Amino acid sequence: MAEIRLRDIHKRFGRFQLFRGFSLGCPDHAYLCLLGPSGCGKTTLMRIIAGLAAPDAGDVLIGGRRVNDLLPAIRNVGLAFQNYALYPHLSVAGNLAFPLRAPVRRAHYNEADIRAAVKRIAALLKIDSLLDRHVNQLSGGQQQRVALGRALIHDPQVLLLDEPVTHLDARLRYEMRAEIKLLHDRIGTTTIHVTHDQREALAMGDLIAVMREGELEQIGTPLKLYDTPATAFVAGFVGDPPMSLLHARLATDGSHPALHIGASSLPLAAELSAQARTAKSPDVLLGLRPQQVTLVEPERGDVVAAVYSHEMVGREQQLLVSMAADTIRCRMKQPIQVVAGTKVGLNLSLVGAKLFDAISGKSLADLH
Amino acid sequence: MPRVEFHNVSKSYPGGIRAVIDLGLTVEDGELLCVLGPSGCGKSSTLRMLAGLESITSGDLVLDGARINDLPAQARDMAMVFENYALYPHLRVFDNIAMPLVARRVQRGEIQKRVHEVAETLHITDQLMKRPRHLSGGERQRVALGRAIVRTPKMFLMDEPLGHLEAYLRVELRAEIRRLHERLGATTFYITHDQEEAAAISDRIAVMHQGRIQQIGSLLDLLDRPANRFVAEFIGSLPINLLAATANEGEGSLRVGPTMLPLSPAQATRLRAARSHTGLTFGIRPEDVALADQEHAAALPGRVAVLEPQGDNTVVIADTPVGRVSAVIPSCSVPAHGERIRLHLALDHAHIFAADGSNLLSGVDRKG
Repeated sequence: MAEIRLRDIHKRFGRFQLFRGFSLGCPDHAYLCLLGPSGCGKTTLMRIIAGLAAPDAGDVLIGGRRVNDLLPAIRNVGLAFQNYALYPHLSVAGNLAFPLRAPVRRAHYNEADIRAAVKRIAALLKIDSLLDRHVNQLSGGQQQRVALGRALIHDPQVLLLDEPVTHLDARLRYEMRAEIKLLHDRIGTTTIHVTHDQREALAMGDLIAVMREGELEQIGTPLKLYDTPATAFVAGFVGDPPMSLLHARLATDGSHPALHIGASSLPLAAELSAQARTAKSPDVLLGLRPQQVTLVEPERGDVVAAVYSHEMVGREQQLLVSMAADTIRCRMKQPIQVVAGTKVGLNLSLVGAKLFDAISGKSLADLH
Repeated sequence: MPRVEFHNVSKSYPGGIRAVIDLGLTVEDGELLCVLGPSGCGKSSTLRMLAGLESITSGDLVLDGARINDLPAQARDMAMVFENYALYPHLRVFDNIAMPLVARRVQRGEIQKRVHEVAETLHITDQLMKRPRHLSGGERQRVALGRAIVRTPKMFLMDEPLGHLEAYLRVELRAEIRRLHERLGATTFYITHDQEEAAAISDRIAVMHQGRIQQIGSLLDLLDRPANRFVAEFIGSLPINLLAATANEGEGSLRVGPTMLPLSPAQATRLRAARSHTGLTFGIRPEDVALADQEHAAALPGRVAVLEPQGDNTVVIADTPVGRVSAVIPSCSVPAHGERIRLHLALDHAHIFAADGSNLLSGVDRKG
């Protein structure tokens, strides 16, 4: 069991500088999801923790100990990849036992110890009846259990999971998500789970670290990220659906603080106007959840927009409307027939809305 | 008028594998029809028979009233979009999109004009001079879509076009596909294993399993009146809860574990007519399960095992005497981990399946 800490990590690939001073902490026993789009550096970070890639500068600490110079095998880390990476020529038992037969550990385990460890881990992952099978006779979900078992058999201090459920079909993915979480509740191993799927991160993480282009955008609990996104990127990435972001300008109408969107002016109530005072620049992004947007006749709306597209999400129709370069999503109580390009009015409820600096993307609430 | 009819179409492969069995299906003029099913269900074979890439073992494939079983692929005038983009890596985006026009010896001025129109529609004008390897997955699929729509084929065939993309890009592109469809009004045959994607973009969904169409309808039809247990399990963004149940005819009630659910006279009559009161399965969607008051008689006791935040709502997964049950609860009133709760199973939102999987009763028969 151990805390994981990355301090001031730098990493360059050829001419491409991915990390320039990246720091992140994962407390002991926590389940941390590293969330971000492809290319954000989340997998590289995991490889750096595992020792499969070396940072150009910076410290990797596991349980307070600097492990930069330790070989992967002696960092005491358990690893499971999205493609399982099981040994096809070995049985389930052979795959599970593999880490215990590795040169660095061989001295510590005799065959009886190995049998006992395989039995224990197989029971934990409910694969006891599969031990003699070949891995290519297993379903995807069973293979993933074997991969998890292999990652955990040597009681690692830290468990690293790279997209562990992405490849499974929907129902199995849902079941495996709960299984992994229950497993974590029981064993308490500090876990870092890499994913691009915000739903998965919200569902599974005690903490979520959102990454983008080698930078940490925000770290916090799922509800913290959802309710108070630190940046416009987090607001537009997290949530189902995420927030719509709208270019706007801070202004005053007479003596009242207001928000100009296109040709419209909306008064700012107390909460947002306090934030508006901290703004460095009048150019902002307004973050709205779909429930804060209501479709009305064009002449009755706070703003005018045009229908872009629409889709059914569960039982409800969601409309995508465009205003200049922005797209806004709203939920319809009743499905309607729409034609792309139709003019519509939108009423925007600013209660609970978020403001972000248009250049830096930072939440004005955080500057406050 | 491009209208496609499959009449009793079957496909068998050497070795006796029957991929498609007695398929009857019509894609109406201008419709976007999605065939949805797990891998191996026969949807790809169906698409390949329609494209002319695969021979038809028996039955008739009819396009605009003419049998086309033996018409070569290139004479069918259908444009295809594939999961893996199938772009020419050595050609720039412009030339990739222009390819179908060049092949048909369209004039250069006309090609310029059409490619630029398409690029604008798909927001890839800035990418026209790049090569595919410099594009993200989402951009590549936009190029592949551009290549399909640059000419005006009789119809479009789409083979899991969003399958390779990460979740957030899928959401972005499915709205684009729906918009294109409404703009072009072209008959489109689309296959996917992702029910959310199918729901978002299609006019109708045909659910396929083991070579046979299980049900055709809108998403709401499939959610509210699933033809059988397979459809109920496959549809829905969270998997439906399926619990063993027994009908108790004398008392006009249904037993789910320790819980007795009273049946209305009409429901009791339906179950009696089905003559199967054992081996039943009670199906209810997590969205339709609520927390019950402690004194509520017809409620299922459980203990909170896992909490999965979604944002405004949280999925509560509880261990109950009949297995794990999921419920979607507003995040502000979620019980604690480990807490004992009671779940209200509303019969008017439930489905009852016979041992053979057929649907005996859907609660939404409240409509009629």
